[in-house]
Amino acid sequence: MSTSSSSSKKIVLKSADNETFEIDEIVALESQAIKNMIEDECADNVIPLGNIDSKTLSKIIEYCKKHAESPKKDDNADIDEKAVEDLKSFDAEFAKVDMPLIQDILMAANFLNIDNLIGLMCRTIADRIKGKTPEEIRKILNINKNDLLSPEQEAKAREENSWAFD
Amino acid sequence: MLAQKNRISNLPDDVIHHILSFLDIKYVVQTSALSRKWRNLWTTTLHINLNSDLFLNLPKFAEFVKHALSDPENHKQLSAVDLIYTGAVTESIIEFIVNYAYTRNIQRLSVMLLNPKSLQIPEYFFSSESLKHLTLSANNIYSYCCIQNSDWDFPSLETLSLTNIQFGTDSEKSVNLFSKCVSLTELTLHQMHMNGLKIFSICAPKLTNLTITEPDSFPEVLNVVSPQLKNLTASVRASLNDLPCYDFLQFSTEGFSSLEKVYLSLSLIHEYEEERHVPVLQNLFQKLHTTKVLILDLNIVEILSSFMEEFSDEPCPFHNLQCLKIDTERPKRDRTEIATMATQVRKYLLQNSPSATFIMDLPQVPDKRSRDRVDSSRLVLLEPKYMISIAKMSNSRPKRRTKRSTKYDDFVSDSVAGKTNKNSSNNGEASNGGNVSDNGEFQKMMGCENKGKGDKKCCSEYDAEKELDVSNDETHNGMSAEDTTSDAIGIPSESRGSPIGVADKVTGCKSPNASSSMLNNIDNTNSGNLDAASPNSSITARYADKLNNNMNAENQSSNVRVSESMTVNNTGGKDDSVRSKMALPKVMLMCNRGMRRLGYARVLVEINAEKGLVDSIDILYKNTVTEKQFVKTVKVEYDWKPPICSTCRVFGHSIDSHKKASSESNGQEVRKENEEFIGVERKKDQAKEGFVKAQQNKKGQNLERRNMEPEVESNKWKFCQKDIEEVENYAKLKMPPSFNVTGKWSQAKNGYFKECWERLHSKNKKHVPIKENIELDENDVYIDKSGDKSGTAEFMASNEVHGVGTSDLSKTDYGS
Repeated sequence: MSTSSSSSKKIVLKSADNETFEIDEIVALESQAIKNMIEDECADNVIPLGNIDSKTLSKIIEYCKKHAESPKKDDNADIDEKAVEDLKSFDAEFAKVDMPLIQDILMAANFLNIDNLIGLMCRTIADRIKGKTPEEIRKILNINKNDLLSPEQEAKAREENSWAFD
Repeated sequence: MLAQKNRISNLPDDVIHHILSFLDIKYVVQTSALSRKWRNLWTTTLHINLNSDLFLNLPKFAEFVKHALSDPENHKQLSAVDLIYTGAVTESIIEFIVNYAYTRNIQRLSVMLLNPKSLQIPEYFFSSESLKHLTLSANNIYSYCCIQNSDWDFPSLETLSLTNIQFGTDSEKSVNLFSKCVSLTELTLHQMHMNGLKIFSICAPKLTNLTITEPDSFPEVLNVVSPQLKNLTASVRASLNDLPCYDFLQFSTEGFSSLEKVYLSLSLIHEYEEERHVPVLQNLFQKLHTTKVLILDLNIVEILSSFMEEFSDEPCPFHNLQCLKIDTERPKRDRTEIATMATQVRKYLLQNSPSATFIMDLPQVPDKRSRDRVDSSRLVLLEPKYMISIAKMSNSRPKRRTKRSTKYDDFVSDSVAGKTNKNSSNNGEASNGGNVSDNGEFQKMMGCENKGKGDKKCCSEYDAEKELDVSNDETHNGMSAEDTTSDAIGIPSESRGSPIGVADKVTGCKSPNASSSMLNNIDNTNSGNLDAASPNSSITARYADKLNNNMNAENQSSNVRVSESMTVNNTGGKDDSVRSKMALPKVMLMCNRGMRRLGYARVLVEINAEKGLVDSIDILYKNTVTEKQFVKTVKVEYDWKPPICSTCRVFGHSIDSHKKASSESNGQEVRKENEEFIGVERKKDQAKEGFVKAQQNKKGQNLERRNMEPEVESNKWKFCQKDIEEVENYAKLKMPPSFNVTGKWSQAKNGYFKECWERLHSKNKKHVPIKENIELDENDVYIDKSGDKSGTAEFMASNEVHGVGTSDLSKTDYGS
């Protein structure tokens, strides 16, 4: 899909709350999943994304736009240094959102198969739980109470791996 | 449906593993207590990060590792191990980890050895069927790891990166490691050590990228047998201390047929013996002649240009170039010169490739018409006098000559420069602009690179003249300037370490005939009586055109005021006279006409010994045509720093000498303290007189005398460092000690406290009159420092910049 004709082509995405987003195909191609759909020619109509709300989706589109615009890293690595820096700072800024949104974005990115975004979100989560106690991590990640270990089980887990708990 | 809660646990395991891959295994194991889902996740993670620094000591780390990596059923899918390890690489725990990893057929191993103590990396490291990516780095500048010469058995290895590794041992003269790495495509050797090695062979049939950066040493021959090599990067950068003992790359190979891109960079601090590189480069070009893209850094361009005759003896080997690029980062020369060199080099290199593209980004220069751009700058401290000299450079420097003895580059070897100085000063003359005011004992004067005969003479004469000028002019305040020109410089400085503003045009004069700059002086929070203390310090300042040199001046004394004066003048070859008149004893002088080859600006700045050494100077620079002002911060680099005594407020000895003195001191000496103090003050006055007088007389005597001064003053307060600190602390805190405390102090200590107190807390009163005296416009200074440079420039322009700028200059009578 090269250049002029495809770059003007629009893809329409519909979020779970029925909001539609029209984006350039080049932006949509950041998502491996959508790329596959386009290649399979299933993307002529609106693509419904039933598990992504509009807030998350607009965030993701923001990310894809930025990354689609910036030159791709190829042989001329020396030319791209500035762009890479720019992208880095964009990513850092992009990740400054609250944990629920990060998790939503991560799930959506996983669904849409956007590798870079998955990596960014995973790294962000990792950074936030690094060095925290299990209690803190549970709170940060908002782990479902139903899923918790019983006090006995948790004690056992700690006992088994006591060498990792200082 | 949207998952409102517990989103994280709804994620597939591989995503969670992705998250865990960023965490150290210690934290990963701790997640087992999170919830049912996470209970055993850590045992299936794909990526293990180990960092021994997270543990109290190595035994703890070893214990943890043995537990975490104990179950043979765990980590079946392991693909990557990342190890950061502080300690000896021969510890058994390393073997344990590596074995654990290799038996799980990992693809990526990254080992960073901190403080590895120069040990040999054991052989078990170098055999894995599955490994695709290996990174080994020994992260310590003082030691490195050795690798023995045994074939590495990595049939799958694709990328290999080695940092700070020693190849070969004393007994081995030839090393060939990669012959079994049949899949290797990318090899990076960073800071490699190959001392004494004769042949280092890289035999890798699929190698496409070879990168060699900042090597510590080269082998005699680098034998590369890689027919598929596409990209070659060789970047050699000598650190300050390194001798250029390497020979760049010596390929033994017959050539590379599929070469596409070559990047060569060779930056040496010491620029002598450049011609040594000529045959090497010729040979290298021959070997690399098939490349399509060639990128050279400026240093290589310079060598090419300097020795073009030699290169031109043979036709250019490159016949297939599609693109020639000159990397203009870190330029040390001015634009026109670069352009000249580049044109020459381009003509030569592209003679067989007429259709190739040529790329070069010249460094930014605001105005092409300017002939007076200051090219480089840096401040260098000269011996016991304190002036900073910055001179503008005239870029009419002729093209680089090819003889070694005539180099006049920015970085002349220190020793040579020093010698020059010494000789000339013995004759009662200054050889180079900077040292006129001095006594000829500069050990280092980086500034003097002009070894051209003509230059030397000119400078010394002019400088002498100028200095006289200055001393006669003590009655003036403010600044002086120089002929018709255009730039003004102001240097406000508030306190030690704070910027001193200087205006100038430094990087690019916008005015058409901007050939001169001016000077000004600036002082700061100075108090009158301190001025006398610093009549004769000099610092030669050079400043680099990007002004981004780092300088690592450490200031010793902190709570003292300083005065600084700065002079700039032009090298435009016009009539020049510069005078400075400040409230302080000042000397400024410039290197002027005659210094046509000057590669940097030079200005003398006088600093008060009390304030210590500044580490940056703001140059306030005004364009008289556009009335705009600019500020540039010049960092100061001290090649040599005189000892400073914050107690006595003199250069010449350090505060440590008081420690010694105090240990020998007895009651009598203590009683003498006050007397001595008075005596010292008197001597200072004498010194000042002597200074002025001597300026009018012969220089040699004068210099000698000034030189004596620190000796005399070093006898001042004699008590130990502890007492000094105690006293100064009280003074700093603005909290007088109680009587109980002071009662126990000796008379001298009390006296010193008073002095400290006065010094620290009476600044403001004394400060004001001085500011008026030198007509420094405080508003200008402050606003100038406030950050928004363009706004400031506007503001200043609209103010017509009185204090520092034009009016004073115009009033000055240059002719007399």
